[in-house]
Amino acid sequence: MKVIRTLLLTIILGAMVGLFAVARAQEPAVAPLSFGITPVFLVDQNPFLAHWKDYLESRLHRPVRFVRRKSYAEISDMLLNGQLDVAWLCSYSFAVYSNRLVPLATPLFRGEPYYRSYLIVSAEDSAVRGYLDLAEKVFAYVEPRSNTGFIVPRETLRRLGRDPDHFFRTTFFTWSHADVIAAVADRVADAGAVDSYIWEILARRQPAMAAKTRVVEKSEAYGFPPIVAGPQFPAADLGRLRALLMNMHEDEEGRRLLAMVELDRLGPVDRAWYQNIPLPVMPVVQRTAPSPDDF
Amino acid sequence: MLPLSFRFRVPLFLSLVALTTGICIAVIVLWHDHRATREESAHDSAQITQLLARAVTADLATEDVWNAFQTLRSVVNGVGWVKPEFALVLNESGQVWVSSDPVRFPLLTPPDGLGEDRRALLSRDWSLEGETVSLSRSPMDYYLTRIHMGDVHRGVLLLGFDSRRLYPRYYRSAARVLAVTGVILLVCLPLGWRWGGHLAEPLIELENCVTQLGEPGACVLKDPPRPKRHPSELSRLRQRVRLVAAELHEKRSLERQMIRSERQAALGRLAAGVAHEINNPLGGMLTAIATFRHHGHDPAVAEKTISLLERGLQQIRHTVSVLLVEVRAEPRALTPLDLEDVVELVGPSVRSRQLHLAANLQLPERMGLPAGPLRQVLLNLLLNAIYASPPGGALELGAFMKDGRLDMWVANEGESISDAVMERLFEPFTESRWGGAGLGLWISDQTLRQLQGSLRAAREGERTVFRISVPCADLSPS
Repeated sequence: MKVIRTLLLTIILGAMVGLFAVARAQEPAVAPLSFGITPVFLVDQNPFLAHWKDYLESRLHRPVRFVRRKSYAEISDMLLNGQLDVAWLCSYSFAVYSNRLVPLATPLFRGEPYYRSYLIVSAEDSAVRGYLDLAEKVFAYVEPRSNTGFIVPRETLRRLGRDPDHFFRTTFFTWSHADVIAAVADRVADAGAVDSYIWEILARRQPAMAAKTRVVEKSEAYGFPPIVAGPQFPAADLGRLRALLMNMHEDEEGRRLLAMVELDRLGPVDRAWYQNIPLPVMPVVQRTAPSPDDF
Repeated sequence: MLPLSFRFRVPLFLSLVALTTGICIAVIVLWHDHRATREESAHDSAQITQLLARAVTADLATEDVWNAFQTLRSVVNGVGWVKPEFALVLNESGQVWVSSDPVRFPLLTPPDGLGEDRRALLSRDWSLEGETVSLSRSPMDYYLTRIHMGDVHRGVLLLGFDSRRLYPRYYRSAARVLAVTGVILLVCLPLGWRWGGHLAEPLIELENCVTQLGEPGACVLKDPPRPKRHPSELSRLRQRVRLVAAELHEKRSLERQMIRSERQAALGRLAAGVAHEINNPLGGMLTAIATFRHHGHDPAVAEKTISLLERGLQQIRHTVSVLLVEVRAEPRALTPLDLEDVVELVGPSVRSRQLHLAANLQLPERMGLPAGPLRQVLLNLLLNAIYASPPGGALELGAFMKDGRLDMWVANEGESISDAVMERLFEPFTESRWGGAGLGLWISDQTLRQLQGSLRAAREGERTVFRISVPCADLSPS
């Protein structure tokens, strides 16, 4: 009796495993969409990404994987060599590699597809009026590939006739916009340059910290960091993804998600918006299509 | 020292002992806690410094100021009581590379924020790996360590601890210890007080008892409910005192008995004398009566006979009345008449031995002294003197008041009393040469002592003199 019972159990279990394997085998393997996220975002304080993941997955019918890295350089490298399908890039990285990247959408913030670089100082410092008042001071940058957090302030100084490498007493990178604001608030740095979008959001969500800083100067407008696809992203999926992103503001859940990050909607990309981004000086004429060999 | 009763002294002493012990232990515990806390704190601070140095080494190498700042900040804001006031990293040129307090120590400036301690700290030799610096006049404890990559000196990590950071912990500790000590004392002190009282009780009871020993109605120590198998010293003491009290009580009643019997013996002796005194006139009276029978019808003889009878009977009555007074022994005040009575009483004995008694009595009417005991004493001394005198000897009796005291003396000639006998003269059962019980002088001495008086015997020239001195109660001149 015992032997028969054991045998029966084994058969049943085996059948179950087999059916399961077969069922799995018959499912078509769908590759997840890998989405790179950069410090352009206040990712740490936001369950936004979890909700957005569900939103995208339900409409794309494929799993979505958000990939976070510390630096813009890593994300753009991964995007360029196909490790990432799409990414939310900083404007500078897009400008540099725009001939190889496929723009998908540009967010609209307060009705505009633009953002600016804010020069901020400590709220207790009332003497500083502009960059020229910051000689021999400590300056906080975001990271070497940040448009508003590195490129723009240095270009501004150059236009004012100063050498950005020797103007300040010392500089350092905080590797996130929020931390530049924290550095200035804690007075580790006398001044810093941040993304206007981040500063405005923080002014509302962490008013205590933002109130310790003061915006001294606002730069000209630059194109808002776009969502782009890598060179190896299949063209067939491009249209679907772009349509989905552009129409996010049309349904209620999409609007709710956009409100979480204080964006109006995701709109079409116009390369003209990114033309004024200061790129490294090159002998070649066409600024909009530099080659990576220039770096 | 205050003359405090045992009732307070014993509990007080016990309470003091408890208090002193409590305080000593509290002090020791606090001191030990203080030491341990200091050591622990120093150890922890040194460890933190070492760990922090390792954490910021990589940042220093990659010039990641922000990361180092966040690390320093998290340590300074850390939990627990081992929190530095500030932490800073100095680069090779001695400037601040990063600090937890950028307002006090701005980047790439000399660490002027250290104030007066700066010179003392920075003049040190950086070859030492980790070092604790405690500057004498500064409230700060500093911990320094080198930061190096390989053998290259890259910088110095400096942590400043406020040495007063431990005070709240000390106070909490002290409060806890004192609270516990207080609670323990609160329990022990009343207990000690009670136990002390409990100890003192039997001693006080014993003391009261001993003081009253021998007096009528003296305390009776209670017997213990069960006899103890191993009685303490106190129990044995109580036992002894009880025995002594019983013995003393017995002795006193024996004394009283002896005084009574001696008195009766004295009375007996008296009776012999009195019988003789009564007998004297009786012979004459009977002879007169016989004469009357013979010459009965002669009125002159009848008159003579009757007056002789009358005189004789009066004399007998007088003698008997004196004796009656003695026998009755009513409590009555002494008067000069009492002394005259006594002289009268011993008259027969004096005459029968052919002695000569000279009485010199100068006493006021009122003396405030009891008649009975003093009559007995005087009688006893006179009888002694009479029997000690050689035949034909001279006896002397004197009595007078002086300075509120009654002084009396009885002197007799004859053999002097030897020194050995003199020593034990007033003791009971001494040898008496005239066959008495040997109690007379002892009883007289006791009687006089009870009246706060004294009895002395002395040899004056050829005579033996016994002197009595008794203070009078009534000194008001009448």
